[in-house]
Amino acid sequence: MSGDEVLAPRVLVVEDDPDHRRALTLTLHLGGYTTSECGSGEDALVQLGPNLAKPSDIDGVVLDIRLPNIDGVEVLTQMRAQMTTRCVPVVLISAHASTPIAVQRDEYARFVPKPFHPDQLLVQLSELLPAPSKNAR
Amino acid sequence: MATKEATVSDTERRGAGLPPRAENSTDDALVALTDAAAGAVVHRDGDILAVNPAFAEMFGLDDPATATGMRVLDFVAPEARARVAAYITTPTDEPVFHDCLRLDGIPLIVRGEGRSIVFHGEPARLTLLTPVIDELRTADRLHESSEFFRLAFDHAPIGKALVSPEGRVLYLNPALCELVGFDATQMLGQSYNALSHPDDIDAGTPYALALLQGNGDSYQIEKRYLHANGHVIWVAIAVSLVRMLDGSPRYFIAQVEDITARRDAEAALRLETERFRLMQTVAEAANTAEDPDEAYTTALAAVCAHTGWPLAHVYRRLAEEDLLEPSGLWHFTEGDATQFEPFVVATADNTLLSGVGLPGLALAARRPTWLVAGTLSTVRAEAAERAGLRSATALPVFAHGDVVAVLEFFSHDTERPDDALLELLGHVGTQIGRVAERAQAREQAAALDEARARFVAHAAHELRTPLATLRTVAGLLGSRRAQMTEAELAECCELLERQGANLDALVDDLLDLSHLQQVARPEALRAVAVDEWVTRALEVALPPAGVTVHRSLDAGLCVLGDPDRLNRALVNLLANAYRHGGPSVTVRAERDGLDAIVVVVEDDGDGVPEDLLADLFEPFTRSDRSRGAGLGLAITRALVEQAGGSVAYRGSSDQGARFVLRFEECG
Repeated sequence: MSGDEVLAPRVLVVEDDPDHRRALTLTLHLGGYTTSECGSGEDALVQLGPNLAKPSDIDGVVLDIRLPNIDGVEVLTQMRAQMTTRCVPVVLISAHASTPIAVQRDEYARFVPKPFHPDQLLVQLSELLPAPSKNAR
Repeated sequence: MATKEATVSDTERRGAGLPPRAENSTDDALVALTDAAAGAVVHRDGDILAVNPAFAEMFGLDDPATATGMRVLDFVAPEARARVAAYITTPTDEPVFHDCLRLDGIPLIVRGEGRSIVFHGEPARLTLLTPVIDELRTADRLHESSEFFRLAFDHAPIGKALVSPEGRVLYLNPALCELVGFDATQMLGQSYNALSHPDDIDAGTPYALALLQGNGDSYQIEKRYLHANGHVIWVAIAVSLVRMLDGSPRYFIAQVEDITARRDAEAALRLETERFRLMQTVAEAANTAEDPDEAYTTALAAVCAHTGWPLAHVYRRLAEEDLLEPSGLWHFTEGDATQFEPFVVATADNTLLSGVGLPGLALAARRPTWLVAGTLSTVRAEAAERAGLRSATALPVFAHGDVVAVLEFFSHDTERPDDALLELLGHVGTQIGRVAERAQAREQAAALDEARARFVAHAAHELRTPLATLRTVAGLLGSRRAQMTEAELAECCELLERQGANLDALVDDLLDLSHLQQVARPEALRAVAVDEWVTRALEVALPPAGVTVHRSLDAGLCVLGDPDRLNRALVNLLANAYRHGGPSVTVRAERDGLDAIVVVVEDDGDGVPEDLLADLFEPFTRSDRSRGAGLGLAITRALVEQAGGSVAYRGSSDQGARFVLRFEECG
């Protein structure tokens, strides 16, 4: 990796379907982001900082709503309840077509219904978390 | 008057039973009084001056002398006194019938003929009296007593009577005697109205009075008589009033015809018509009502209108249970419902088991049932008694052969509804039940629609999961292929390939399930040897590395089923066990009871999570760990049921999952 790439924002991909998680990761890389990934809400909360108490290196989250146990909306709610993650940009994705209420009143959150073209995701994410254009491939 | 008498010769007078004329002499009267006919000399103020022995005998006097000083009216029936008093004041020479009374109270009808005389120097009236029967039988001088008249009377096929203006029987013909069951001798002198049914006793009175007052000559009515042995006879009566020359009433002639058979037929027809109307009302409600309650209410009102029952109520049956619950739907026929309030309150919480209370009995018997209140000791008995409800009838309402409600009707009397009415009420229950049938069908259709919509929504969601990857990857390949490394390109192809296959499998499962749910059970089930079946399934569902399958099959077991479906079902269960179980999976087969065989697939995993158990065999039920769409067990159940068996989950978190397939043994 070059020095420029180190500056790329880090996005956490939370998706329980491994194939789709892989596709999302690939999309984000091509859009100029670096990624972390996990398959459950619990893991996401850990990666976002133990109990969300202290800042992590995550700059944004792509969050599937349908997850085992703790779902995406719950993860978002917990994030917004903590100072450290209150303003971390989140793009929720779901096969359910309607925009969750939690997103409607959250200026740092967006919703993209599945299935989607990768550019749709990148457009929504870049509005909240721009990737340096030189990083995009 | 003197002039008239002067025209009659002495010879004629003797022939007529009158003494020879000795005008205005006391002797004349004395001669008369020695004669055989009963006679009385009466002062014009109504006092009796003298009577002869024949009179004394006729009226039950021991000595003729005792009559002297009595009043004529003492020998006249009370209701005839006014007329006789008028006759005494203004006498006529025409023969007159009198309603008399002997001293011993026995009524007596006599025919009187009088003339004016002087008795001991006072103007008086001599009257000769003959009993009327003798008059009718023997005298041919008067037209009404002629042989011709008597024959016409006695041989008439319909009842005939002669009745005095005061209403006493002068004569009855044999036909009438037969009709009412009395002898003529019993009836003579009695009130004619004594023949009437108590409720109809005055039915003809206004018309008879009108005739007596000179309005018209005859009338016809229909009324009830009471036969001597107590039964009711319907009669049509035509009554004419025969008048004397001066127009004053002489007697009534009544013609009486038995119309009991016609009235019975009319009553039967009327009842038939009313029952037809009741069924028409009920059928219309059954055809048009949307809501069963609406139909019940109509039926309550229609049955009460038909029977005159004052109160009715609906018990609803709780679905699939032998329990009846009061609906609170009441019908009050009588305007004032407050008298029933305590009974309504007593009913409000009175839930009944089958066989308990009248509605419970009707539910158990599945037919209309009648009871006298108080026969059953229920909580409502006391309230029923206070409301004056003395018997009740309950009818079950049927939908698809099941009782869905019981209508109960209450009566103030204890008269049992006849069999025809109970049968009719049975039809009411069947008719009204059609509304409940339609309501059930609507509910089932709605539930089916809802299930279908849910299935489609689930299916769409499941289809979107592979589609999400396909579309993302296809998008990347379309717009960013130039920027991708060779490794990334290869990975994209791999993702496309895998998700395409997932999508294909999912569509297969959906079609499978839909097909299995639609297709009826195969007609030809056949014998399938259990060991062959298990062997074949294990060839398809090979255990993955690290999993061992143990077989424990009793020898010679054979089930009745469809081999292909059985195989797919077992393969699904094995795949499930490999995916969710531990390292050991066991397939057991053994006899269960007399004619059943169970095939068990068990593993040593953690079992099915509690929250999935309720809907385990429903489509799209899956655990969080599962990668599938949750169709496997739904498909398995459909396969097993089509193959003639059943599947159940009997596992636990300690012992692992255990699925039990149960089939009829093939003998």
